[in-house]
Amino acid sequence: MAVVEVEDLRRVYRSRTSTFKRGLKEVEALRGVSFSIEQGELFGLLGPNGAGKTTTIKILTTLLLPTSGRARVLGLDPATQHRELRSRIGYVFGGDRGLYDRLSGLDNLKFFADVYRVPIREKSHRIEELLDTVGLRGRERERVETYSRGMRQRLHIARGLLHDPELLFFDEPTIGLDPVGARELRQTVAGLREAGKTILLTTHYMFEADELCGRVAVIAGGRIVAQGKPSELKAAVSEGTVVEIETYGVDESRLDRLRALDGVKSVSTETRDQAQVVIVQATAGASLVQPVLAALDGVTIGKVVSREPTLEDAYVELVREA
Amino acid sequence: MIRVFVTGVRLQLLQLMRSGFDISAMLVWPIILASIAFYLLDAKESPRLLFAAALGTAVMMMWAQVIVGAGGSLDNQRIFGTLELLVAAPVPLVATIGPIMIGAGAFGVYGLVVTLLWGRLLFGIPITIDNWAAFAVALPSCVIAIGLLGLIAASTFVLYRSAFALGIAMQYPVWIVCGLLFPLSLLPSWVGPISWVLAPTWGFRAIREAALGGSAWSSIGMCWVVSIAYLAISLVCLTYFERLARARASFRLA
Amino acid sequence: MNDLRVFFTCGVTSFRALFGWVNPYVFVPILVAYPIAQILFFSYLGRSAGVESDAFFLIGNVFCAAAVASMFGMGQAIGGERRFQTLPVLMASPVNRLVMYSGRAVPTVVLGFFVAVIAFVCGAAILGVHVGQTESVALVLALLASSFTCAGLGLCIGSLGLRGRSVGLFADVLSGGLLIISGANVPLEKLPDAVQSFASIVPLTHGIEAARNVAAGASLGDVAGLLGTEVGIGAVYLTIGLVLVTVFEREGRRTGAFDRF
Repeated sequence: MAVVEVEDLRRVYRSRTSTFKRGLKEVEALRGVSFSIEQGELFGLLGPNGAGKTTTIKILTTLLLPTSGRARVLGLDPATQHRELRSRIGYVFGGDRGLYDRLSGLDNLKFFADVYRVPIREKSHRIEELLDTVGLRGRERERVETYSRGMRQRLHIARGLLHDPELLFFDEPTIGLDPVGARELRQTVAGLREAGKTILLTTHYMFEADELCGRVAVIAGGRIVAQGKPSELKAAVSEGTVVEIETYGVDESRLDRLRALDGVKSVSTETRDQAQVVIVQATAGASLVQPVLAALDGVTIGKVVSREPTLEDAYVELVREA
Repeated sequence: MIRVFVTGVRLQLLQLMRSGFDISAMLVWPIILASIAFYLLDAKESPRLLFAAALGTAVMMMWAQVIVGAGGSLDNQRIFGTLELLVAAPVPLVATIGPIMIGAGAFGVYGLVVTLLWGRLLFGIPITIDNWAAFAVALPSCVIAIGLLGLIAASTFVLYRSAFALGIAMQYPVWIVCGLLFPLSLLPSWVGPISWVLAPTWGFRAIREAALGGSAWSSIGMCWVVSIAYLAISLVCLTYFERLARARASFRLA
Repeated sequence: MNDLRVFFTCGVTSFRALFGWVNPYVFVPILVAYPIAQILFFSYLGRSAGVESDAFFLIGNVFCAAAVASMFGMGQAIGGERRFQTLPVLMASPVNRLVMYSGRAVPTVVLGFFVAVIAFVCGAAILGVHVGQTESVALVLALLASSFTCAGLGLCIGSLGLRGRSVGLFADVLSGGLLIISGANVPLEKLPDAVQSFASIVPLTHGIEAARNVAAGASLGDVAGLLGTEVGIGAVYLTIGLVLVTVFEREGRRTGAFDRF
């Protein structure tokens, strides 16, 4: 049975245009979103800012009521059965806020342990365990206001795991983290997946979804524009190969010659440092390096790279179309 | 420098006029304090005394707005990170922080209007000004003097974390010592000399004497004397405390 | 059982986390120096007007000091959840909201009482007002009752703070209003009838009256009714506040208001 089932979820936000004028502004944040998450899966919701990722998570974590549509989390309706659901899910979000700055990390964890009804007998043990898991041992008695962003994020995760939920929601957990911190956090998330937790992760970093998620849904403008394994997404949208040639000046007539080649879908140029890079997108299977080099005969050439389209290419194309 | 000053005062006034908090507070507090004074003094049933009480309340509010508003404003600047920018600006601090204080004092004129209207409408207190010319000069003199006294306080606030708390604590003591709602004769004799160096004392006397009769011009003159003294002291203080703050790195701590 | 734990432990922790005035640099100016100066100001004003006695203004303003501490304390202890954006975390948790919020009233009442006692001792010493031992018990009870009522009002203020309104503004205006409406600084008979009626449902009024009666020679038994009324009013405010908090959460889920600062 699916752990999370979402069917045609819609959410409209209404706000007044200004304090004095009587107009109402309506923003359709979700326009009919549907997906499901299986037990033990690490599911990614990938999309640009304002796509509807946070709105989706807030509905599933009982914080927001949908305008219409159906959602079931662990078999329960987050809109009406929120009381039973809250003890079974964990919610972790990125950013600077969400912790009591004046208290120590340990005090924060103790407080939330009580709030999440962790039995007294287990409380200290769980906190100790989690401090080790997230790597905050030794810093737990310092006030959170002295923590770096990476440490705050780790404390967030510890907090989300206090009551050992079977389902976890991570809302952009690596946002604002430096590369090292972000990598460590992704390792922690991967570890949780190994331990059998079901996870919904939202992110706008394509490589993150690619690295961590078993399945990904791309959301843009409140709609799911594609769903599937990262490899499927890459294949489905950006079929073919990409050949990048570093040149030092190529004129339009040569580019036309390239465009005329069999199997070439598009030719564009990009300036990178001192060189001009010609990017040739071709259909799958087309072996184009030789014809391309022949067409560029006489032009000074640097590096030639033939590569697979990345999830980034797929994502950009999907979001652009939406 | 004058341009920076004038712009600063205008900006501070604009900010205050757009702040629901400040407008509400300046609407409510004068009414509360003036009403307490009116009900208590009612026993004497002297309209001129009540009018003086109204003016006293207005000056109390000017001081409150300067010292509390200023402390809070500086703290906010610290939190938003703009205090560092003010310090780093090529214009001296007196030209950037001074207007904040004076603008706050000017906002107190709104409190004066509220108090007088309230007194007129609910207690029937007549608003009669003896010497309009002196009053027209006394009011801005009072505002500037109080603002510049606030500037000295602000120069110390630059150093400390909880500026707003000190500002709050310094309301009542100044109200007591400056004889704004009751005569200094009620207080121990050593309070007298302290009151002479405080702006609200002279500002209040100037306004009251212009309205009710007395030597308004000499009180106005004293306002300017203390104002110049305050300016000189705050220039020294600001330079010294700014250096200390840069050494102690206390601009950013929120 | 968990609810009891949340009530006491979380109540204190939340208070520590969100009430910003506990550090001495803020506490001493706002909750010690300010109330004492206020007592002196109004006492002198009373002397100048020849109205009532020093004890009258001492008692009135001591209760106002407790009010400030309780209202700002509770207001910040609840409204602060929005400032630190811990609101989404708490709302997504299974904790019993009513228990969680009302638990914060305990440290708030203690704070209000503590502030009032300091102000009273210092004010009485400066003004030369003497209080007997039997009177002290009744005064303590009256202060506790009024601190409780103000905590209830503070919960209402704090719940509005959860909704994004300025806690500081409401607490400031209400504590100012109490200076006059509760009879703290103006004998109630001098106020218009409408205001006197209003005073009967406002915090402090009954507590102050009880305290003044005791200072004038009444026994604890004589003022028990007034104390009971004060506590009753506090219970009503507390209930209203808890209702507001519940209504707000429901509304917040509907409109998505939890994240807007």
